[in-house]
Amino acid sequence: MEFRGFMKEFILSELEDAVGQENVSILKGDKLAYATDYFWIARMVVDKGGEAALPDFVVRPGSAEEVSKVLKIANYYKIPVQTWGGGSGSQGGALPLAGGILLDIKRMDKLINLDVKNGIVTCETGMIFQTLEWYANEQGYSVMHLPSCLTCCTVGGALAHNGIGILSTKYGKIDDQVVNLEVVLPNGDIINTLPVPKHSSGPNLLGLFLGSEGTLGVMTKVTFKLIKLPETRRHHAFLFSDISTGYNACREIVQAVKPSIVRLFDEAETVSIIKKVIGFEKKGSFLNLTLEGYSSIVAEEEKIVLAIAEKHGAQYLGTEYGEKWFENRITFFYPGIMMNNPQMFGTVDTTATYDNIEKVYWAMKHAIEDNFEGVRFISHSSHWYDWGCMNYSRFIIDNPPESEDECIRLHNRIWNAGVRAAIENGGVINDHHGVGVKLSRLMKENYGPAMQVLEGIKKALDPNGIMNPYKMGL
Amino acid sequence: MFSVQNAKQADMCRFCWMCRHICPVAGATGSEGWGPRARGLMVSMIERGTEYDAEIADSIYHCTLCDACANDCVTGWKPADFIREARTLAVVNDIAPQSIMTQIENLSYYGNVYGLPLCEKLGEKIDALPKKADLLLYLGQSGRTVGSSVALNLMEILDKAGIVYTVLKDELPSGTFLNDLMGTTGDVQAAAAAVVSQIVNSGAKEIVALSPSDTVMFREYYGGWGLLENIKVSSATSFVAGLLAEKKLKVLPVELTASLQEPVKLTRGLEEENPLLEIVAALGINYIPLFLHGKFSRCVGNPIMECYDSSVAKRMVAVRCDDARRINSNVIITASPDDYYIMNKYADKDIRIVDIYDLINTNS
Repeated sequence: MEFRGFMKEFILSELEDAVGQENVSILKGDKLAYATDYFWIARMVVDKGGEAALPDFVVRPGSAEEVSKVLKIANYYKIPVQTWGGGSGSQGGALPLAGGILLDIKRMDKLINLDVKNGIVTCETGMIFQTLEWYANEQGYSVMHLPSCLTCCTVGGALAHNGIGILSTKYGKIDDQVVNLEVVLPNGDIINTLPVPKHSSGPNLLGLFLGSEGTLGVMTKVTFKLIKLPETRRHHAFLFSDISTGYNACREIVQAVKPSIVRLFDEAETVSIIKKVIGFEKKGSFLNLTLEGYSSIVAEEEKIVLAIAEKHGAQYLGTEYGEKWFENRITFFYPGIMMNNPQMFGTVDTTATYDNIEKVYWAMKHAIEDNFEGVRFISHSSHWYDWGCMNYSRFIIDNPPESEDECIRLHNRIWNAGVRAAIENGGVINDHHGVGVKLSRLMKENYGPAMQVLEGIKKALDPNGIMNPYKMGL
Repeated sequence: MFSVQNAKQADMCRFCWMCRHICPVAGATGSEGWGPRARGLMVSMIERGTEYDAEIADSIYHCTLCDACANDCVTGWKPADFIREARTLAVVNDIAPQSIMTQIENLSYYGNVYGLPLCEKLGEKIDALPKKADLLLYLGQSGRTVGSSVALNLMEILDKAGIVYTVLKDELPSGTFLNDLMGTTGDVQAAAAAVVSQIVNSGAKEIVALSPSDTVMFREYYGGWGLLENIKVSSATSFVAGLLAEKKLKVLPVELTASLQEPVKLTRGLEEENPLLEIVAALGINYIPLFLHGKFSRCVGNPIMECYDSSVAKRMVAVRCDDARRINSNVIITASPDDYYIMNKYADKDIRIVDIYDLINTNS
């Protein structure tokens, strides 16, 4: 942002007054830390030594009240505010692309209440999700939200893009796990959603803020459901002849029992990443599946799963590969194993009903593989519902163009092709990584006239448009 | 600018956040710029043309080099390597913070980063010891100054066990803090050579180091440089655990429920976890393990951070106190003079910091 005369120092002193001098920084070392999140384009710019978008002020509030003060200042001066949690998002949702204030919420990391009787836990949203999980585990419980970014994301980041964890098929997405929220609105008012998530007391405000990606306010406190750690957790692995057979078998399984983990890999991912990380060498469509809970119930569920898998001609691979996958569930994302720059890559994840999910898979695969040279397409389906499932499809280009411009152009064309293929076949823009700046332009295509609802809410809550500009199509 | 190996390390870490949860500085302060990923990003940006200036150097020095990140890394990257090299470059290019330069000068003149003389009472105690002995007790910079009570307790224990030992009154710094302040340079090796010469002249055949940092320096770095080859080096905790096991020291049971501030340099650098637990067991203490224990124990700061930005050390101790409260234990036991000094200075009044050697001394 351009500040004239003494205005930058003037605003700096107001921000320091709001959160304490030591919690506001304009130091280069602090600003550079926000040059990139996990978004490929931001990484590519850094990798090529290009100019990253940096904030003017790094502000670290310690409470909802301090967030409120900062938002009032930002509204008065009409300064953009981009909220940053762990910075592990892949959609550029937290990037300070408009300059102004980078609101880093990690100082708000207090555990407020762990209530075993009511089965709930309340914390501030700047807490690292792993820390919350440790606190729950200490008491024999879990939040049962274990995303791959568990160790690096904040609770607030997971709420902001409506995230999901590996146990989702049994315990749900994060919007199934939240009980209530505290939110600071763009005008600085601190509000609470109703104390319980299920009611007939008007539209549910939880659904408005979960997944709003910092465009409608700042979520500062959350209460989650607590689940007792399972008596047993048993892992299994299967091999199907192809992804199509796998889809049918898994649909039947999840409509009969509730596994916690169901991960079905297409043939391309089975022979690449699964082989690399857990050493499985055969061709086909690999599935790892986990059942958990009371041992006696798990034993009955296992019988049902094995029977359905057998009916679909699956080869049962025993428990070893499933255990290995679980042990290595985060290893997949470490540098040296995960795709890395200068490779170009992206996760084009989407969700659809069972009728449509395979159509979406093939449409996306063709849209990407048939139209772009040197691209690989791999996919797995890792979150399953009664009505459908998601595809976690990825494209990889080992030798992308040299120039930044060409990289951005090619990257966006691939994304446009993949996401439009999904939408045309009954899918959505995204399953669980969010929209961010990456997919902002496609929101209207997906929502159609319904987009005016989101636009109207945005205008009412954030008339100055200061909250996370360029993101989520708002 | 950076070595090929460290530039590669930084490139691997710059887009990876997986160790965020384990970094005690970033965790206690909530500062994005003070974690391993950010420092990797900065090094990679410097390699690509960003000017390395004093504002970036400030982030580079907001790290205790406790190595939690490397120990948590599934793929084995070591952020401390490129951070040390970044510190060398900061010192060489005259962009290191003034406080860091002062600490380096203090090491030269006083033998410690604090700029303090040897504790008087300790000096008197050392004067009464034999000038030469097979066993050399190496006190280290905190043991000789801000943590001298820990050193005095340990010396009394050795006396009770009938151990004959010596302490060098003009003990030179091992180089462990110089290594952290300016990276692994020729100056650090020169400091090590001077220490070795002093130890050899003392006639010692075995060293017991009070400070976990010095123990790791002697065993890892000196060992790697081929120094101290014929001299056995033990941590004070393992030596005392041995005395208890061999019944050279007898202790009464202590009625106490406590958590441990484990010496992270030992648990991570040397994978030495058991001796402190053995001492605790010998004392009959009801020990409550924290979620982060052993090689994942939470660092509570170090002398360099305390001198550079005491507000960070204070916040790190506050987090550790919160851990203690959460498990309903208001006693934290330590065997490190560095940790004892910092925790005692900043712990809230409801939390009691206990020196393990004091417990042994009082109950033997």
